[in-house]
Amino acid sequence: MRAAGRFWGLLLIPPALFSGGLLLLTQIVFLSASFHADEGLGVAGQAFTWENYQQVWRDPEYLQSLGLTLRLAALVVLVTLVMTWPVAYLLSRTSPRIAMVLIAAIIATSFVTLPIKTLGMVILFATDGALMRSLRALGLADAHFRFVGSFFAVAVGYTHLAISFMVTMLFSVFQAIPQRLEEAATIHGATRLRVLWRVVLPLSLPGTVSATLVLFNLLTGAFVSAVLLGGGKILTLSLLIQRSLILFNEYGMAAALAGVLLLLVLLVNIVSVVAVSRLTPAARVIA
Amino acid sequence: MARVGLLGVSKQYREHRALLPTDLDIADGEFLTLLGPSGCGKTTMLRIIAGFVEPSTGSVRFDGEDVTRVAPNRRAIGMVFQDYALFPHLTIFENIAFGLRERGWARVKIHARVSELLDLIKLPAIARRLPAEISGGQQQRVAFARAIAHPPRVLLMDEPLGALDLKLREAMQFELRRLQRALGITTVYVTHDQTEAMNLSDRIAVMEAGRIRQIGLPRDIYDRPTSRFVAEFVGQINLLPTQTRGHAGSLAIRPQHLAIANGAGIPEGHDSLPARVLTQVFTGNLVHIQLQAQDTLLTVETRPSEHDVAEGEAVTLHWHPDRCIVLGA
Repeated sequence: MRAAGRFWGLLLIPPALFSGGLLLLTQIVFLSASFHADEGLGVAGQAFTWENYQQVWRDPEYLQSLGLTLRLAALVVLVTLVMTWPVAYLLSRTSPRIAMVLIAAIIATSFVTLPIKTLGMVILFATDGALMRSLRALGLADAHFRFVGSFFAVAVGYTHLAISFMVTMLFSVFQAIPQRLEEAATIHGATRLRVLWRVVLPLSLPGTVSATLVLFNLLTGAFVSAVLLGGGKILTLSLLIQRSLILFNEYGMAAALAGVLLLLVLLVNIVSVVAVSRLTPAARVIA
Repeated sequence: MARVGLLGVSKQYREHRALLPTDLDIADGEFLTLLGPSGCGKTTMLRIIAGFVEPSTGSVRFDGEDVTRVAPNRRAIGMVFQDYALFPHLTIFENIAFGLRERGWARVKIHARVSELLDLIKLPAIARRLPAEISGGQQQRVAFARAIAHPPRVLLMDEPLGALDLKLREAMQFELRRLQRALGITTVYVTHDQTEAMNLSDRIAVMEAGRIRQIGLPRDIYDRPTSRFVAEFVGQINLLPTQTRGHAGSLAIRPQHLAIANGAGIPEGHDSLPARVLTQVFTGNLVHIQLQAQDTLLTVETRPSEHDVAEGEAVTLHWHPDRCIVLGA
C-alpha cells in the first residue's frame, strides 16, 4: 500500500511542474519587464525603475480604463449571477435525465467559437438591420444609438459568454447540496422561500462565491468581445495592453498594466474569500 | 398527537404501481412499523403521510381532518431521516431550534425548549458544535430531538438506525422506545429489519409489492403469519410441502419448535420426520443445525447441551402439531 501510495504521489509532479512552472516563470518574466523603462522600438532600459507604474497612476486614460474594466466585469457578473442562480438551482432539482439534456445543450453552445458568436451579434444589431429598425420604430432605441462601440454592446457580449459558463458551475454547486436537507427544512415548518433562505443560500454560498470569482477573473481579461463589440471605443485594460504591445512596442508599459490588473484582481479575490468565510461557518465545513 | 388514517391511498408512477389502494388506521400514541423489503411501498407510504408525495387516489387524515392537500410544512409533522439530514452549517442548538424558529417561537421559549430536549437525549454539552463534529449516534439523537421539538402530531422515521453499527443500533432501539412511550407521540416507522420492528412496535404492517400483506401485533405476525411471504420475511422458518384438501401448500414451523429425537423417543402426540444432519453452527447461546429431509432443507435451533449430533447422522425430527402453520402455496 505504501509503495503504491508513493507511486500515485509521483504522478502529481508533471502537472504541478507544468502549470506551476509555466505560471511562475511567465509571471516573473513580465513582472520584471514592468520595472524597466521603454526606450522606443521595443528596446527596454537596463536600470530598475518604477517609471511605468508611476505613469499608470498619472495618466487618466489608464485609470479610466482600469475603472471601466472592473465596472464592466462586476456589472456582468452581477447580472449573470441574478439570471443564472435560479436556473441552475431548478436544473439541479429536476429529474436527472432532463437536467442532463439541458446541460448538454448548454455545453453544445460553447462549440460555436467566440468570434463567430460575437460577429453574429454585430450583424444582428446593425444600425440599419431589421432589429434596430423595429426598436427605433417602437421608440425603444435612440436614432443616434450605435450598438457597436457602446458599453451596452460589450456588456451584452460578455453576459452572453458568461451565462452558459455560470449555469454549469452553479449547477454543480447545487447538486452537492442534498435534497434531503430541503425536505428536512420543509417538514419542520419552513416555507419554500424560507428553505431557500435558511438552507440553500447559506450552503451554496461558498460555491457561488468561487464561481463568481472565476467568472470575474475571466472577464477582467476578456478580449475578443471587447475588440469586436467595443469598436475601438470601449477600451478595457486588456485592449490597452494589446495596444501597448502591438502598436507601440512598449513592453514595459504593457507588463506594468498587466501587473496592476493582476494585483487588483488578486485583491478582489482575497477580500471576497475572507468576507465569505467570516460570514458563515458553512465555509469551514464545506470548503 | 393524532390518529392517522389512510383511506384508499395509492400511488402510480407511469407504468409502476408503487402503492396499491390501501386503508390504514393508526391509533393516537401508537408505534406502527411499516416492514418490508426495498421497493415494497413502505417509503412511498411514509412520504405520502409526510406530504412529499401526492397520492394518486385516496386521502390522508389526521384526527379525521383531511390533510391530503395540505403542504408538508403545515402538517405539524416531525421526521427523522435515514441519514439524519442535519443542517451542516447550523450548530446543534440551531438544528434543534429550526422548527421552533420557523413557527415563530419567542427566543426565551426556544432556549428553554432546546435545553430541555438536549437533557432528554442526554447530550446537554454539545449545543454549540456542528453536526460534523459529533458521532453518528449523537447525530441520530439530535435528529430525533429536532423532530419532536415542536411537538408533532405525527412522528415519521425512515430507517433512522440504518447507518449505525449493530451494538449502537440495539442500544438506540431501546432509547427510541423509551422516548416514544414517555412522550406518547403517534409514530410511523419504516424499516426492512424485522428484529428492529419486533423490538420497537406496537403493531407491524408487513408490506410486499405495494400492499400490506399482514398487519397486527408483533407476536401475531410471528406466530400466525397468514402468508408464506410474511412467514419467511419475519424470522426464520421451515417450509414443508404438503397437500391440504387436494391443494398444494406448505407446513411452516419455526426452527426453535423443531426437535431432534433422543433416546427417550418421540413424545405423545408429536408428528415426526426422518432427516440427515448436514452441518451445525454454534452461535454462543444457541446451535443452528441444518438438516435434509427428502428434498427439503430444514433448520433446527436448540440449546448447545440438548443434542449432540454428528454431521451425516440420520435422526428423527419431531414437533407438536399446534406449532405448525398451514399456508397456501
